[in-house]
Amino acid sequence: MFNSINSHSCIVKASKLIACAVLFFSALNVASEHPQNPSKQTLASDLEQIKSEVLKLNRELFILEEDLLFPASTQVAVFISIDIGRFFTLDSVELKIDSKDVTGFLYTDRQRKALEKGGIQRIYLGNLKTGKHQLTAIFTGIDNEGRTTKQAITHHFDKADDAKMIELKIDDNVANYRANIHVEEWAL
Amino acid sequence: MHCSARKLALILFLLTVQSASTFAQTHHNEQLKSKYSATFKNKLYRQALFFYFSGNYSQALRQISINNQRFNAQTPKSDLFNAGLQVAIGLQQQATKTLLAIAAQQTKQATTAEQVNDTGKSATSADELLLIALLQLTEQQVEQGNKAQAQQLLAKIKHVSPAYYQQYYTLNQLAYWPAAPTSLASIIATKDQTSTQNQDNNSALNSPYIHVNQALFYIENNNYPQAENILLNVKNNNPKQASVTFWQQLFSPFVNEEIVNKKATSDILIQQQAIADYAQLLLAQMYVKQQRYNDSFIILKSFPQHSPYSEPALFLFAYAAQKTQHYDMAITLFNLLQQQYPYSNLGWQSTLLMASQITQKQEPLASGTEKTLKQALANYQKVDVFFSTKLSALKGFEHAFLTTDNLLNFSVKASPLTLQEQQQKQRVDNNIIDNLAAASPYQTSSPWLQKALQNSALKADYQHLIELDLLARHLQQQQQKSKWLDYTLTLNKTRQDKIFTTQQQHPISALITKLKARREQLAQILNLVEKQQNVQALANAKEQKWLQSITQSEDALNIIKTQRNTTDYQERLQRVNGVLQWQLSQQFIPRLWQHKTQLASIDKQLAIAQTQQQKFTHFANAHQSLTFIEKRQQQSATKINVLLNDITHITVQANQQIKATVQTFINQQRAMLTANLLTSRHSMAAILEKISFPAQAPTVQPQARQRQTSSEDL
Repeated sequence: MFNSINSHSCIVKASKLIACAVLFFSALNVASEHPQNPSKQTLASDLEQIKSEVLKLNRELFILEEDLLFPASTQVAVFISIDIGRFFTLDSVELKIDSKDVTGFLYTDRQRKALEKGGIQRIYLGNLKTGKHQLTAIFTGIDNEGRTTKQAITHHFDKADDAKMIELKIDDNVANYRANIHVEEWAL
Repeated sequence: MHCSARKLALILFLLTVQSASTFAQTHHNEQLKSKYSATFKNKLYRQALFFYFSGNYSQALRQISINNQRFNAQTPKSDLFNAGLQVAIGLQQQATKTLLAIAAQQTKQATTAEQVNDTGKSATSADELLLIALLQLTEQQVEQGNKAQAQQLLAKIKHVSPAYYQQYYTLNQLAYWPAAPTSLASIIATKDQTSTQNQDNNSALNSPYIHVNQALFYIENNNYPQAENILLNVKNNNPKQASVTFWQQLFSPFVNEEIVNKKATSDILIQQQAIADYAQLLLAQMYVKQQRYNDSFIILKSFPQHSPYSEPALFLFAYAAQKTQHYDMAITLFNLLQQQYPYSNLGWQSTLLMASQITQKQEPLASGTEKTLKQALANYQKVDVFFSTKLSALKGFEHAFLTTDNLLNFSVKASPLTLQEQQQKQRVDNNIIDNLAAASPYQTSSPWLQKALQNSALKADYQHLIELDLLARHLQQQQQKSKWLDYTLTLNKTRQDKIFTTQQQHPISALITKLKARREQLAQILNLVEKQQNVQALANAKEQKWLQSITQSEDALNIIKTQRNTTDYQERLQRVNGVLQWQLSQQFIPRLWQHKTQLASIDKQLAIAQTQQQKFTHFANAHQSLTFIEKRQQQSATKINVLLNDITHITVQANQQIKATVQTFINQQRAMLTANLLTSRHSMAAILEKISFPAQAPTVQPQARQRQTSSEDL
């Protein structure tokens, strides 16, 4: 009778209702049915090994693709970050380089919160010739009084042989209860 | 053997690839370490955080890996983050390795820095992260029955905060079962928790899971009063469960949404109800074991209808009803069990018990008249047909299952999703981690397979098969990507070769050098003219012609001056020459400036041409880097093929393993059904005997008695 109930506990486990108490039964079942089954261990271990290799391969191909499509000599990356974000609720960003639209991004609540929690988003990755360029970013959002506002910033930069990384930082200005946008070029 | 050879080949291949780049990488890494600042590394880590908080866990893990590989941005925080995600996607060996290394490093740091007051928030968080990751990993090991590994991981935990003690204690109970945990970690409180530490210590052990496990321990040792107290307490009070902390959420990313959204509240309530139901069921079982059938009957009267434990509770209730002489109710309940659970062991037992019950119930009334005995016989015949049908159905299942090539296609349960939703779900994108984590368990419409899948080992094997299928489909996509990269590389190479050929056909650099030499010559002349104020040197073509004409005239005058008077001519010539010289001197400065400007312009053009030429040279040299990328692409392509082969091989193994397990299950079921069939036939024989020899036949069939469930069996 106890055995019958133990085997039935798997139903509960499948429904993910109980974690630990049920784990006990399933653990006992496993132990009793397959005590130290080496082939099972090998299969699990092989599968884990493959999973790990696939992840590694994924990463390698991703890097390879980036290296090929965006070599450092021409690479330009633009990032967005928010410090606190009390005075500006970010809704969307438009990005222009040398007066040409290069990208735009419309944020979901979750993505905006991800920025407010300290995340940095790479919004653009592209190629540019060496020389002088102009970056313009237009931020649309809601200010602390609930009005839809737009803020723009223009930044001139020189593209050299190294990869160029530019961060657009939105931070709160307590003095005037508004958000400020700063530009920071990352030093490698 | 074949597998080992393949694995060895794979390892050798990887080692070759690694060793080739190890030396260069070591040197490069050392340079990188100093090159990238802490601020930059932090920014890289924050990129992973953005992906994580946006719910894109694959990219978060990839970002962490890229940060490590490309920028050597490995920090303790990112290591923990990495380990947490590894735990979440089931990379247990890797996660164990990472976590144990971190734990060892922390212990070392704690020893060397001995008692540095660790008040920093980040340090506390790191400890907490490590603890959670270790607990999650232990839970996975326990779930898979790897008790030794679970014990090993638990032994690494030295201190536990009250918030995690319930989970820690429960895992210890499970890992060491049936023995008691040997040594437990101490409970530590953070500074802001000190005031409530005692309270926390008491509440830490107040988990329903801990109580139920404790009760089970008492039942195993026949200490029923203690077990009863605990189970009654769980059933009636249902002690509060530990709340889920932020870090627990962080380390269970794939259930994160469920915890965050409103559904979580209802899930917690369902869990609480389920554990209370379980306590109630255990209590009833314990009463039956003690032959307190009436208590069991009373306690199960209030058992909820919709519970994960309905089936055993219903059986126990029917059994208790039979024992307490509620015969009608018992028969109804056994009948219900047989109808609702026709493939379960309890359903089969119910069928037998019901038949026996009907026979027993009729005996006192009719005391074995032929009519009632025939009714009993007819009832047993139904039972006979029931078990015979099940046996033939089992045979049909055996044949169908064991001859299936693709086990994932065997009798798949129809999905309630629309075709579009199904296609979307089946789509394997780059986010392999999300796909692996979200892989739903195999659902079948075959009742036999459903029953077999109650075996957690078989279920795990099926999960492996699903994962292998996902990995194979993902790798096929990666293969396409690799081919596209190969194509792009070929295009780039062709372009590069063209430029290279053009360069060879038109040696621009030689031409530039020649032009440069010529320009230098001109510059020198111009300098000389300026220095000597040689106005004639800057005369234009017309003026040059005039100057030449004047010179010729002077020569002619010199020849004829001995024969004729040339004074007049000479004066006129001098006047003309004077005017021309005056004009040239007037034009000298502007012309000199003009020439210098032109020279500067030539310099500029030459510089541009030189830059272009350098670019071409650079581009031609980039041939090497392209070759390097090409090499990497070829390595990836080879790796994909090796992995696909490995997956095929392991899938075959998994199929064989599953078929073997299912075969064992079928044999067990067949034995059980045959035994049940035999019991019912023995009972039938006894009844037939009774019909044939009414005076000699015993009142109750001895064979049937043997198969009836007694309290000792329970």
